[in-house]
Amino acid sequence: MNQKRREVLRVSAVLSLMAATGLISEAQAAEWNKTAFDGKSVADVIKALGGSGTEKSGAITFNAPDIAENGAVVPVAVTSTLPDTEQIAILVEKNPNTLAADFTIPAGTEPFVSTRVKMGQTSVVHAAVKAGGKWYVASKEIKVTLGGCGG
Amino acid sequence: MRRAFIRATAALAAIGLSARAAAQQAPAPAGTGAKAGKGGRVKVVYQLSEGIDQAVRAMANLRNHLNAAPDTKIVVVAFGYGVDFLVEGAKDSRGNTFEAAVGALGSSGVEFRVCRNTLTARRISEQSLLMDAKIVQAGVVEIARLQFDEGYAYLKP
Amino acid sequence: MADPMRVRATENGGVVDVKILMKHDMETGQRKDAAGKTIPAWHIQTVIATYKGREVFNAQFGPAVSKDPFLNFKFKGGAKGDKVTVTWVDNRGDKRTDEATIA
Repeated sequence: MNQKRREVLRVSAVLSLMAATGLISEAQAAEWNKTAFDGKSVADVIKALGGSGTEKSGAITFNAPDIAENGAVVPVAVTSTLPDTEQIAILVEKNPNTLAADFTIPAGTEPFVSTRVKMGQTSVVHAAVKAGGKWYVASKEIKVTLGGCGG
Repeated sequence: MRRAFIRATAALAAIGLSARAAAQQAPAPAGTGAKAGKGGRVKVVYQLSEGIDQAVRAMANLRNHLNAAPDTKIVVVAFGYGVDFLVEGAKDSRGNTFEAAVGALGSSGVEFRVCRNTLTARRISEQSLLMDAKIVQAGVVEIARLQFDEGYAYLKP
Repeated sequence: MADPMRVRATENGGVVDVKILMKHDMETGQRKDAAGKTIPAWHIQTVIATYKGREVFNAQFGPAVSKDPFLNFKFKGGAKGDKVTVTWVDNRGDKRTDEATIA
């Protein structure tokens, strides 16, 4: 059995155990969306997330610096006022893999998230939001003075 | 013969004296244990106690420090007005927040320790500090302790 | 078990603000070591936060999330004194669970 397969089985086992012990529900123990995280373009990622395209929306507030001194740590924050916001995703266009993170917003949780991502180089970054079954997006270019992906 | 004996005794006495002198120097204070150049990691404590402008300069100093000497263990101790940059939402004179700089340094291994006495005196809530900051009871005590007990070099940017 | 994460939860006007600082190298799989060998990808994949058995946040991370991941989200209906539990699982199956009392 090769290493990758072993890892996938191990992760599945851990998630199943967590579900069995009630730590997380079966629904939550969903597989990590490998296809989406392998996507090399915004279109690829949105398709893997079940969308057919994105529509620009001014109801998404995307807070991020204009210039990131260090591409290894770029703080980004997204707030959505779109009704029925259920998912928020951060896409960095010029990264080796476009999708940085994908957040599920359960009912009762505010449509807001803040995190820190790596950027390999200056790039347009997109905050994609799924609301009412449709994907919307707000974008901004972040200049990077020192790339942060390594290699 | 006698002269040789006296010379030998004198030599032995001299050795005895120098041995005693060496023995007196040997128990060096614990703090000077890890000297640079004798191997072992260089450790530095940065004191930040003046305010946002000093903090801005320090962010650059810290970055340069790690670029030049990546193995250095750095601890930043903030007290008095030096705490301001670690409060969520703090901005420098250009309107930039410190979250990115502190986050980047933090993930490079720099520790940020904040004085609890300052927080109390200035009525700053612990909850309002950036997550990267840890609390110590007293900043000045921590700075002295790091030097004396753990061999840290002192730096005030 | 992996290094503990720092979780802070504060309640204001019925909304609980949760901030998490996790400890993880988050290797992208792109870096090479001194010998020129590629360091394999090693990163947190899933982060789940629960409050009284109900999931209040679910995050999927790729390797492009910064080292020592930071996460901040807010949920409604939490009360001071109750606990928020956070669990992460990485691509090697390692996991970590920590909790914080809402202040």
